[in-house]
Amino acid sequence: MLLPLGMAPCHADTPPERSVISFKYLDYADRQPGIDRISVTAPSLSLTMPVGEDWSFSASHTVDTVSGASPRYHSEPLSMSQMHDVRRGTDARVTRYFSSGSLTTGIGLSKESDYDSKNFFVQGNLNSESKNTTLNLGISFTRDKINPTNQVVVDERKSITDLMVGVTQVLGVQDIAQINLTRGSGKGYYSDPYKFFDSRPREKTQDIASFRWNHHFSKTDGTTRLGYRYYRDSFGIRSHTLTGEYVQPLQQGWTLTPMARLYSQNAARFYVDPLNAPDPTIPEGFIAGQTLLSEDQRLSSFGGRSLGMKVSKWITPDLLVDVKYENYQQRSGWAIHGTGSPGIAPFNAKILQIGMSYHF
Amino acid sequence: MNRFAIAMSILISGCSAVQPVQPWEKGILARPEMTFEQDRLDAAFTEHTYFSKEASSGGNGVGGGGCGCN
Repeated sequence: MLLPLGMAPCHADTPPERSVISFKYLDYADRQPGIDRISVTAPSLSLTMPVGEDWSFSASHTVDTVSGASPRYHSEPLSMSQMHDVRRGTDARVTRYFSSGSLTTGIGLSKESDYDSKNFFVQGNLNSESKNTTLNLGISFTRDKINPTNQVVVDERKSITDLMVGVTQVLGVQDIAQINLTRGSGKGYYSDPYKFFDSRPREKTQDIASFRWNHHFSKTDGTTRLGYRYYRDSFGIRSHTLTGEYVQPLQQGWTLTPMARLYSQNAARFYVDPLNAPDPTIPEGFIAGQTLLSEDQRLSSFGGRSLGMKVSKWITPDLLVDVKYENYQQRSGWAIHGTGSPGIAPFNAKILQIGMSYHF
Repeated sequence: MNRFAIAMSILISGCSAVQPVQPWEKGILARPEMTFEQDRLDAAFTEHTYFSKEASSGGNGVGGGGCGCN
């Protein structure tokens, strides 16, 4: 369901006034106590431009270089396996603007040594006469092909269809809110071929409700951007995500944006806790390839906290430079659903982004 | 999905009760920070990071496609 290349915005009813070319560089590193795990560097380029009076075109290209160590089960240090891969992702989209809304269609392609993904989507926005209410509708088709280097499976497939319906509502001269409801349905290979005996259902449905609210403060000229997302899927995952950031413009073209994010999920119904560490857990009656099983810590019960700050400055009226740093942490004990999964090491990630945008 | 349809109906009917804002009053609403998509590459990086480390994702749009990171 996600969108490594970015989703189509849910509310954009006028074409951009100017073209924008943007470059961003991501530097990511995560670790658990005593072990450096995955690091990622990812330069990315995007272009957005008006075409005539009623159209716009945008495209982006990203190259992720991923390397490091990843556990084959839970967060067990003895199960770490080394990996290195490069992902190239490209997307392009075209938008037609009408007096009563807009229609966007686009494609996304992602290629790794062991995973290819193709996506096609259409999204429409329909405005009320006053343009204070906008109906958002979207549909997306994703087709993936999986060929892991260890050849646990060969030419596996996964197909996902997402349907989204939402409303964006102007609540006042300083308030705007949005709700989106998404249903995702997928079939195919959902297992992780690099995890120990990982075997997940071949069908998955996801329901997501997302609420967002932006409020501007006249006194400070700042803006709060708040969001809440409820997620549930047929694997048994339920999660809550709370996000908030405050955009504060300052003098001489500076803007400060502190942000925070709180996340909590319960475990998938086929996730098993580490009972025999440092060995993997093998449940009674387990049959490889038949018994649903995962020891992937991402399917365990945990909570996540994130704190970050973005600093941007208009160097000239056409050139914007920004730096963002975020610290992300996961702990089993932070889960709000019960006590969290036992035996999982704390997880920490540092995320740095450096970018510039030229408007012309 | 039925519950979703009901929720949307309630929401849309609730929207009609909001005091309308006139076009000439929308200067603040037009500012970039008041829109729901600010920095596209930032959003893509951030969502990708969470997607690769958590079991849930999506919710604010469609498109983009998958990857092998989760």
